[in-house]
Amino acid sequence: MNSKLSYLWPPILVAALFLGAWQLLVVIQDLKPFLLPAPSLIASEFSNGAALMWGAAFYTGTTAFFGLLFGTLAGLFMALLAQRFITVDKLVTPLAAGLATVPIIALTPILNNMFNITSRTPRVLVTAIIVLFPIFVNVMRGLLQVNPVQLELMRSLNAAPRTTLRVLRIPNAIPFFFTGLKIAAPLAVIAALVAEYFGGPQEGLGSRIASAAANTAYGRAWAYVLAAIITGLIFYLAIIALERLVTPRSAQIHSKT
Amino acid sequence: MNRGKSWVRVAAVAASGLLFLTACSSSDETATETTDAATAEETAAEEGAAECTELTPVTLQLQWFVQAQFGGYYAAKDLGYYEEQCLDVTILEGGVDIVPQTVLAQGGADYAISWVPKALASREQGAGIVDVAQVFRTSGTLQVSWADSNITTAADLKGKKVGNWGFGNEYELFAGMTKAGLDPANDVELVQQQFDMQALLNREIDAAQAMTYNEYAQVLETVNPDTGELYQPADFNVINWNDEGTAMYQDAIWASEERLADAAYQDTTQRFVTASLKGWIQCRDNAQECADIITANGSKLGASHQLWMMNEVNKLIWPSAMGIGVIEPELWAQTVSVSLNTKNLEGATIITAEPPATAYTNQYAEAANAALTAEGLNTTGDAYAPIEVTLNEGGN
Amino acid sequence: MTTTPDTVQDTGSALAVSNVSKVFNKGNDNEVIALSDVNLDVHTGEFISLIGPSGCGKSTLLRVIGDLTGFDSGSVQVSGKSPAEARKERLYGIAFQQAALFDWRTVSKNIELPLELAGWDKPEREARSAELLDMVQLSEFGNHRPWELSGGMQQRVAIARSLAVDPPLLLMDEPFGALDEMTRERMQNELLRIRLDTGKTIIFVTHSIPEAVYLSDRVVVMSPRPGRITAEINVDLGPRTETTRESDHFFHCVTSVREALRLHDTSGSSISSHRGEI
Repeated sequence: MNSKLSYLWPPILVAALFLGAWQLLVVIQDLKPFLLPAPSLIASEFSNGAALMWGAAFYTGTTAFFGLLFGTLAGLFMALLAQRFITVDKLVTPLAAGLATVPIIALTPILNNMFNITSRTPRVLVTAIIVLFPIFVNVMRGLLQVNPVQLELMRSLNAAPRTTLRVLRIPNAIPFFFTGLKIAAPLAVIAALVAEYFGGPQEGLGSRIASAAANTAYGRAWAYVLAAIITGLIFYLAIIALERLVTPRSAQIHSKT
Repeated sequence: MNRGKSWVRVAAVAASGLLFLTACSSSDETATETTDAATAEETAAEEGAAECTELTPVTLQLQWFVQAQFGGYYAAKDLGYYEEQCLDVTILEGGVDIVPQTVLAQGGADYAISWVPKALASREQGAGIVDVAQVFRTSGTLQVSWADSNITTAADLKGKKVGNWGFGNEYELFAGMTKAGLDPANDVELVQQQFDMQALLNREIDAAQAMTYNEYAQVLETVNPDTGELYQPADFNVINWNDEGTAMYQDAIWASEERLADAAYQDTTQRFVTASLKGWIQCRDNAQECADIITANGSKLGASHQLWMMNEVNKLIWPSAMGIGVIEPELWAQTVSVSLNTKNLEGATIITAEPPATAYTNQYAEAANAALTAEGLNTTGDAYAPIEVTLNEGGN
Repeated sequence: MTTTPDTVQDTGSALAVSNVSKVFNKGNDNEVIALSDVNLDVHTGEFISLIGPSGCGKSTLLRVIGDLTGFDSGSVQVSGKSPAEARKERLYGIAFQQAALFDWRTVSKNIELPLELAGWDKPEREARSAELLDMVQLSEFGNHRPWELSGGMQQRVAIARSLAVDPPLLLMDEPFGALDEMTRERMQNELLRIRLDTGKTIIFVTHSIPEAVYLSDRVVVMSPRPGRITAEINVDLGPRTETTRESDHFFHCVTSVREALRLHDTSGSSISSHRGEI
């Protein structure tokens, strides 16, 4: 218990100092909200609009969740195929890399026009596409970076490639998969949020941030940003919890990733 | 140093001094003051033109990309009106992420074009800006729907998928719906549109937000697959917020409040407003020429779309009984009332308190009107009639 | 450590390697003759060590036997079958220098791995795994994870795994190479005990002369460039006891092996040439 406290309080202290300095700056320089809102303003906006914040966070979070789910499934599937068939790997890896470089701001309007703008589909798709690459890359690495001695062992046991995949490669890839998920989960929240700037239902965090900013209500805008940060953190912590569930505690300390 | 003309110089200096004095006075001016100012202005202008050795550099921040919506300013620049006023004006295009009134307040520009409600919101957040010329008199915001949806008033939006651009552009719509007894959060399904009309054309939404001068034209430039011809106005219904009584003031010239305490900036502001309004008068009477100026300045819009825009913008400005750029108290009050009382989805209003009287001033617009009238120009557009514009496919 | 009874009698050919050659990168500049005309006969129940400096082909030969790599000419018969057939019929178990246990499996499940692949059902696998754990004296560690065990213990698990399907032949590639001296000696005794209990043929690759002598019936000396067998030395030590390593006869055998190695050492330097000698 002591050790937990001892590593928690330095970041909290730093955050407190930072916020304190920010507040001081605004007060001393008498900075107007349209230039820089004070933390106190942001906090009051946050608590006043708490119900709205959570509503918006839930909406964006749902988009992020489905995008994360589909992107992860697609990434897993692609990685399994690419590992098995070299030709698939050669085709898919540059494609995945190319997709990863297409910015959300270009992708979203295209998808909005392809699919019904009033539905969640375009945003979920954008999120899935963004999530796909980190999952794909990490799972591929996990499937391929197997101890060669273990591969020799499997050959000595007359294991078919499919058996080696099931018994060796996939369990080996699990820590790598979680590495990818830890990157992908907050990314999914960001993607879902940014995609909201480009049209569609307006209940989410991205729409709210844009709307507040357009009305120069920066205090409110930052309050929504805070809600977005919290949402991203929740996603991240959920992945960590999942990892704890799937892999035994001691394995993580020992794991090579 | 011509001895013979020295008395003219003295008179000019005195006149300039008088001009400064009148500029410093509060907004309501008497007729005599106006005439004096006009005479002084006229003389000063003549002398100013002769004396102008160095143009004053001025930056204008627009609200969007170069298009006929800003015709007056580009006309004033290209036709030499700014130069006439001893100004060297640089026009900065706007964009999605550019908030012109913030650029102005932070010192990134000398003047900015902005819709009044958003500018008032910025004012409330501390941006020191003043409306010095209300160029657009009526609102160009429409809610467009297919004729077969039978949406002719705000009340008809109930239960429908209503598109809007978000980004703070939705208040007239919300006010209109609220006035008609609807709760925007629950009685309609709100959808944010992209800055095109695809969602309406694909019938994904029932009503779309559009400007008379831009997006509305986009639907009329689209070919109706059933007829092979362009869509006609008869294919659509529009809700006009001016008719519904919830319209708000739009494009205006904003200046820096802090700098307006400075005499030199006041002088520059007067010159800028005068030249800009002269540009708008020119665009009223020569719409095609102005449309061409816009195109020459880099607008990618097609020729017929540009002319449509110029014509529709003119309809928003003219006729203006009190003179172009002059703020009418009832219209200002309506704008303030909607901004104060209309709640958006989050229950937030545009502003939370009445803006002070110093948020706008008519002195520059009125002085400009006087000067331009003295030049022989018509500043009220009482004889104005819009032209007929034929749109081509794609706006070309 | 306890004494061990007489060595097991040989009863047939466990391994017949005949004129085997293997070349890497044939025809290129970096062509290496890994094995050149190698001949080796091993009888059932024999303990053979392969020893030699780096590049002599000992590990390659082991892998050829195990069908983990191919060869270019000659023939290899494992219990009268080709290496591929022997591998498919699971006629050998293998242990490497790395234990290469699966971190995500318990110790018991690691031992069960060959049994799963061989299609045994659960109760039989668990029974056999328990039996093997007992044999390597790690019964209490069945539910532990590999990283919770010391290096020596992990190797014992690896050896237990190699015995899982009870193959007649064991191939071992420097399995004790990563262990410290004391653990190593303990493991050597373990191995001898297991060998006695099970009667398996063992082919053991090592860098260590004392280890080779202590464990084997016969030490096969190899040298590199090209990889070939240069000597075979019979070790006639009888049952191993605590004092075996200190006996004159042991020293004499070790010396024979060392001399055989030195004789064919072509690296040029003399004292430091016996790389791999402890």
